[in-house]
Amino acid sequence: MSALAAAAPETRFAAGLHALRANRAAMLSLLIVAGFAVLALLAPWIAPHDPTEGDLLRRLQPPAWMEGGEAAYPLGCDALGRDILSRLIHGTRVSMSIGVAVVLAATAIGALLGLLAGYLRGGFDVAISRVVDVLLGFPYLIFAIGLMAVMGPGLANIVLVLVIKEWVMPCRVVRAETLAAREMDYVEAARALGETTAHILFREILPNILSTLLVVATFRMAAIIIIEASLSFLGLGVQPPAASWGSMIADGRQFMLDAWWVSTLPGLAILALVLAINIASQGMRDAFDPGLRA
Amino acid sequence: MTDIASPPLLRLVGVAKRYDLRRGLRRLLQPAEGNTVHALDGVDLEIARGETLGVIGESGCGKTTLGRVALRLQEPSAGRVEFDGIDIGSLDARRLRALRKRMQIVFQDPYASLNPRRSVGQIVGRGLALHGGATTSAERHARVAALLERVGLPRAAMARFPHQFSGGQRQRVAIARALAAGPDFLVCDEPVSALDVSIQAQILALLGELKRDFGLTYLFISHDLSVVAHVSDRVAVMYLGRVVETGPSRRILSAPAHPYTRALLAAVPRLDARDAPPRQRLTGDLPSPLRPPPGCRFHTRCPEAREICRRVSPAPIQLAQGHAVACHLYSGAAP
Amino acid sequence: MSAAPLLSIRGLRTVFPTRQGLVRAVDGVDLDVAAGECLGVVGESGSGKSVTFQSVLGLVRPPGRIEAGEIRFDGRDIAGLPADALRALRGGDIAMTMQDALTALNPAFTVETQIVETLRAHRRVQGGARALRATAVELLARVGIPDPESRLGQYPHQFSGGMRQRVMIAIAIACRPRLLIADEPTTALDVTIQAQVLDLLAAMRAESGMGMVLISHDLGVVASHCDRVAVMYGGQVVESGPTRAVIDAPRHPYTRGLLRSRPDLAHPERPIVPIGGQIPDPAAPPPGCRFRPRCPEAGPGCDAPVALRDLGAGRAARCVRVAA
Repeated sequence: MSALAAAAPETRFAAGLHALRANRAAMLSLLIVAGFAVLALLAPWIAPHDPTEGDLLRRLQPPAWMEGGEAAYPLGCDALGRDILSRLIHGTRVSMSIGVAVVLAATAIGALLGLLAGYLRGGFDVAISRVVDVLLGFPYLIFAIGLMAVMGPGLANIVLVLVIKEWVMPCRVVRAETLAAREMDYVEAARALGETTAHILFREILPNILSTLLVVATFRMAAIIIIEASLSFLGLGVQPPAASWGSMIADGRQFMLDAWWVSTLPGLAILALVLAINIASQGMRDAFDPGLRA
Repeated sequence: MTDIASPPLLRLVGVAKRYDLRRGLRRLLQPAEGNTVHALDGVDLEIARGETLGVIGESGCGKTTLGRVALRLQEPSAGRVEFDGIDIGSLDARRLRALRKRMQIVFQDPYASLNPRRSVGQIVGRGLALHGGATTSAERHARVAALLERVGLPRAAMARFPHQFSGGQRQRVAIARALAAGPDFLVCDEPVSALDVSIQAQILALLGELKRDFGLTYLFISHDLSVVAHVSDRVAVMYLGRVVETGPSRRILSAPAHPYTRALLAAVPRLDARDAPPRQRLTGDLPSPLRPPPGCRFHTRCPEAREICRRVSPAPIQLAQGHAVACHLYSGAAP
Repeated sequence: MSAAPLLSIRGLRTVFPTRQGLVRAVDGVDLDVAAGECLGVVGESGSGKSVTFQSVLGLVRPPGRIEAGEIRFDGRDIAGLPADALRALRGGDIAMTMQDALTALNPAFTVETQIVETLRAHRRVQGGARALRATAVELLARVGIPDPESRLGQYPHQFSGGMRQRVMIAIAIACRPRLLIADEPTTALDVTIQAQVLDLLAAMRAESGMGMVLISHDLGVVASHCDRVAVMYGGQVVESGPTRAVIDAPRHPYTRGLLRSRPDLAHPERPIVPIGGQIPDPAAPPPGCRFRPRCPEAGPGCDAPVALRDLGAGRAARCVRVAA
């Protein structure tokens, strides 16, 4: 019979990549995010000084370009004389690892529950949807502060608390997409072939949701980084002497007028990373969400 | 053609399907009446082995639900579906999965019925993996290639994804997927309605060949009377969840008995006005399946409705061998 | 045709830039519609039948554009008309109904608002709100909507598919257009409702004497309602002529193929003969005759571009094998 229709030889994913590459702001943001990721991974080797070791003689030493600064401590020192650059680099590690861990765990849990709720409907769906509604009703920070107060601070506890609240986000999105997908004839065709529910969920439906899930995950990662910083700022997060952007801001609060760099520089770091993640995920959504593309 | 003496391959007895639109608490607060879609209502049908039964009707007549219920993709609210003598409603999940090998379906919209994220080879290969006994991947590969060639697609199609094909080609992939399981019964749910006219004929011709070559039995659902008449041995005409007339397709065309069948025939646009039967335009709209009229469902639009039609639902009456009509006009004419 | 036609399209070419290249959705279309005549335009997807008439009404969505050609309405070239002049023409002298009445009507406004808006925009009714409302009621009654007084205040979703199509026809004929373009008016409808709507369109035309273009993929629909027919394929008109003559003795192989591939209720025993192959990709149409790759009669000479040739008796075909 005939030759194949001369449709575009690229897959939808490739078309998405093409569109993403054309988006300069998104590509620059991706580069910035990648830069932070490298800092986080290689922190001990990149950081010029030990982030926890202070030299009281260098207390509140200004950045290198200001009077009294020196090149060995380019961003100056904090109230305990610790190198701010080194603490920022190690703080990147904390922020990004918490962000990635929370998003990964929440996405896995949320996607699984969302798939099941959307596909099976019935009592399970009602139960999940109620839990989601209740969790959504809590303000994020108050929920986290309350739980952290009960469980005590610490890296593992932050991740746990944030995951307990965070899984509802991917869950809602995945449930809605699954509700739509289960009405598609290809799902009906899979049932008619005698496929198992597991096959239908993970091989038929999930691949069609992945790009949406990716976009949600990156958007949420930015939010998680802010929330972690807020918790650390309040003293409920990563404990001293370990460096975290939130606690660094808190540390510099009282010297705001005399030594602005102690609080401001970690604030700028948060701003840069969160902004970059948001612009990148916006770009990814535009590129991969067929609904928005002509 | 069909052997009358042998038991039917598929038999539907008093099948009903109702959808309750109320969810959760609303079931307690709202009446069932007016919130229940009566998609199927007391449908009796038989399909003999090797036969093509055409089901024709307009939107909301329940023909799509009929196809789904016949394969137990949806559970009937009442009645029984027998496949080759087995009551498929009584099967547990494992036995039902095993039986799926024998009954398959082709859907209307080839853009929705193929998963955009799976290659054509994966899509067609599933039936073999599940039911075909193709154990090695090399064997499966060869058989997928053979199936694709059988439905008129090149082997190279295997590595491609659905969006790289036109509608007609996608429908061929969907047909290959159904065939891969090795069925003897195929539900064709409006298989050509989404296709361009010149492509429709290709798919109809292909379905005809496959039926001959594989000894298939078809339940062919369509809103297009010309297509149904062309492919079917027998035709069942549905209106608002009920079968109003069944008979050999030639007879339905030449001597339609039910006023609805006659109106349907008259409404089909003809190439030659001289072929058209005298005009018998229906007035009014289809009633909502949420509130089907009492008595004969068709009485609100029927040009020949009488008093009894508004009250009593007509039972099917045999007019001739294999030709039955559910209409009060014939209640005195039973043989 | 001696008198100047109501609508005359010459050499129309409408293009859409895409990533796969420039798509010529309409490529050299010539069509005429005389006053009071019904022209059927038949074609499959990608034949350019809808885009042709979107071009007439200036409804081609950017980046699509009319690249070449002449569109004359009542002798006036309207192809390059500025937006506001086109708007005055649309819904006034030329009206169009869409296939999907549900999306073509605005869901946020009542039917009354939408009819009255059209009447107001073209200032066809003298008098105040009461006169406008009376005209709207009369229009709904004319298109056969029962109980028009009370239905006027309803929203589009409260109408059934057939009734919505009637509402759209009512809006289209509100300003007594001289040309009504009906784009697949019955495709979304059930067959018994389809018959009602086609009858309605025929009655409206008989009543008002307006010209009509009926765009359809179904030769049957066109056969029973149109004086003349134009068959389109791959962005071009491949055959045109009086409907009866074209159906009884098609001259272009594509028209013949279409007729043979259609199951016929009057002759259910006649085998259907499919046209092989696929509809051409509009981004990469075959050179020469667009139908050549699928044509059973193709031979040497078919790979050069073919012009629509006059065959006399009002007929024309775009095929090198057809003698005048």
